[in-house]
Amino acid sequence: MTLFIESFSTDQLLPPWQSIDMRVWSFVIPVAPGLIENHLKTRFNAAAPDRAPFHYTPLPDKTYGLLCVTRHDNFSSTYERKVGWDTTSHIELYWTFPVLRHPVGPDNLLGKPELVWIQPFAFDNNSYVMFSAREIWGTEMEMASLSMTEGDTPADLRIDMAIEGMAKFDPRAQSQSIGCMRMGLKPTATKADLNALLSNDADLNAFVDILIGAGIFTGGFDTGADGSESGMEVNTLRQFRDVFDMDSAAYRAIVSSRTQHGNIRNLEFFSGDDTVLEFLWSDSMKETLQSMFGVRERYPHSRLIAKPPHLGAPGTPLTNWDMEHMPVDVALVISYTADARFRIEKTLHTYGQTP
Amino acid sequence: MSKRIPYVQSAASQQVPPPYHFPGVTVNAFYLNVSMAKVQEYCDRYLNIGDDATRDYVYRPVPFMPCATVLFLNYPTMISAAPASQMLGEVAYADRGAISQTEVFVALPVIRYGRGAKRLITDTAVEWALPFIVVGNPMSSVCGREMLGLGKLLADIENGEGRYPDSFHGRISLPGWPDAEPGTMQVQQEFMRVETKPVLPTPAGTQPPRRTLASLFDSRAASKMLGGMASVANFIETSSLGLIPTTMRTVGLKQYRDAAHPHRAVYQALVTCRAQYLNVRNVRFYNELDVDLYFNDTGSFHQILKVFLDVGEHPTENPFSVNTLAACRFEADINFDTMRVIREFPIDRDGGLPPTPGSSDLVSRWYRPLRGFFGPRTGVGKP
Repeated sequence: MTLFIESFSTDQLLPPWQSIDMRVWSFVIPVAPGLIENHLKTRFNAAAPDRAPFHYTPLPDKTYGLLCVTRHDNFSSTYERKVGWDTTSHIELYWTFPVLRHPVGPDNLLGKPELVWIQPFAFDNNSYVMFSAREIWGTEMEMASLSMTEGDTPADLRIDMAIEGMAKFDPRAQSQSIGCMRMGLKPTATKADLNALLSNDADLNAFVDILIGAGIFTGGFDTGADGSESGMEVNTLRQFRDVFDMDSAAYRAIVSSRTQHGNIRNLEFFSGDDTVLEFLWSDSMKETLQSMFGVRERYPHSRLIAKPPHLGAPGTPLTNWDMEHMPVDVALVISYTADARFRIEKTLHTYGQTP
Repeated sequence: MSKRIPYVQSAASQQVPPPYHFPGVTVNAFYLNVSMAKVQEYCDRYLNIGDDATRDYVYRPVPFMPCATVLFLNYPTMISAAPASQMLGEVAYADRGAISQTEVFVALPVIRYGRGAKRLITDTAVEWALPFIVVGNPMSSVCGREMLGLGKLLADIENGEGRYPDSFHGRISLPGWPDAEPGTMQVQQEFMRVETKPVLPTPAGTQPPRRTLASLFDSRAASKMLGGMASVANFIETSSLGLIPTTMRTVGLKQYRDAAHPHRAVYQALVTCRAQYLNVRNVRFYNELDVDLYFNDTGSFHQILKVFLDVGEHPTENPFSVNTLAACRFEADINFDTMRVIREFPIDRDGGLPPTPGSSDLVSRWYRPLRGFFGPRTGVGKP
């Protein structure tokens, strides 16, 4: 067994993790199967140089994804070999959608598929969480300034995110803090009845059934009699560049992890029609937005009445919000408070190691 | 690596490929005494990896340089000169623009000795280990950590003029824990601070400048030497008594954890990179006797300080003041390139599989042209 040589610089929040009283806002967004297919093709189904013993496909029917913003006020590592120096707080944003993972047999035939979740991008405002996410299970998480405020009414919700980047690529451009995303509920927004929202939409109904099956907003840390567990199995492509050949990876693998929610409370649903979700169009975000949400109409102004905040600590440069806004249609909004557990299950496949 | 594994490039990857060019960098350098035992301890833990009996190299402190260098760098412009990826629609990094950042690191000079008569000649090289490095830009921290094996932490860095004109003020704040009790919340805390008086000559200061190391340059002979050589970058190393190296070849341990078993490694390699200081100019010295430099020896920061300072076993919860041997400021253009994996270590695997094959490229700079530039890494133990 080759031991990892520990140091303070790599000692960040080792999994498994737990989060107490996390506050979640999930935005259910339709996603085109072709875009999912493209993502899976290069990340999970590629020969690199060998093929993993799995093949990933989009769900057969209309598919939705979750854009989740979660505020973790009490987030800690429960790694058994370390006690203390393990608790922090942070806000994260991630985009995830379900896909089917088929085992591939020796005869090259696809076996019975399992539903797993893919996380193409994620942002966080805590560097320790970012390092753990990127370096241990491979989520391509970026550092961001994230603010999430709630008030007495649903309409008080405001979520804003800024990143370090370029509004416009140009050899003379200088990176700066740029607005990236804004979310909020309209002044008329009120709590909605889930059954009423789903009554005329069989596809959305099926997607909510997937979430209920995983216990996302129904909760449960228990293991079933057949050994099955609640939660979302997330598959990530974990890769690191070789230092000599930049088109090569020094290490590339598919990692499986599981997120479970429990002790669900303050569960509320809102109609997508009452929601404003906008991405700000910059060259730094363009590729990510196009690959995940396709080409959409853009507008010079935000649909949110509230002005964007000045994120960041005193003395940091102001954020540039003066970019085109790309609204994204939302089908349903789910908010709740919960406890969560997160653990890495195993490395499903390591590339380049088959004889 | 026996097989080429493709890397999937994307905007979210953040791993910006080198080479990098950094024009107009302002460097404030502080030189501290460091214990040879600490440096050897660091070498043994992070560089002298594997069985001592069969390892074909050994890292040791440089006996004639028993000091650590603390560098505060302000990069107004950082440019990646990497060509565009082959992916359709990818914009070349050099065409995207530039980022800026501040950086602070502690550098320890170390010597890698090749073992055996032949390797002692062909594989011996002076390199710099960076036991502590922080940056203000998240993309830089990701690149350093994931590609180069530099343990860059993300920090708030103040780096500029202090109370007096032409003086220096530097301050680092890092995420840390005030104590090791379970449940104690992580907070942003001051990790270190440095203050100087104005550069010499100056009437400010509590110590007479004639007692400082920098006063060497007050002598006519030394001034003449400095004036004659300072315009030639290659002689800066000589004219500054070696305090300003024109080329720093760093060495770091690049390693990744096993996802499900974080105490195990799935990849371990020694990586070297070249930081070349070109067009070194405006070299000015501070009175080292008037430099106030301290680290906060509190909570989880103690783990950092233990690596390169003699701070004792437990945190004192007080500032740990450090005497400086010399201090200076200069400007330079810096190229960061020539990355190499000089030693990839075999990794044990489960399931009855043999360990992954390691590789070795331990060739000193002078001998490399004779072996051929950028030659393939060879298997462990092979010539």
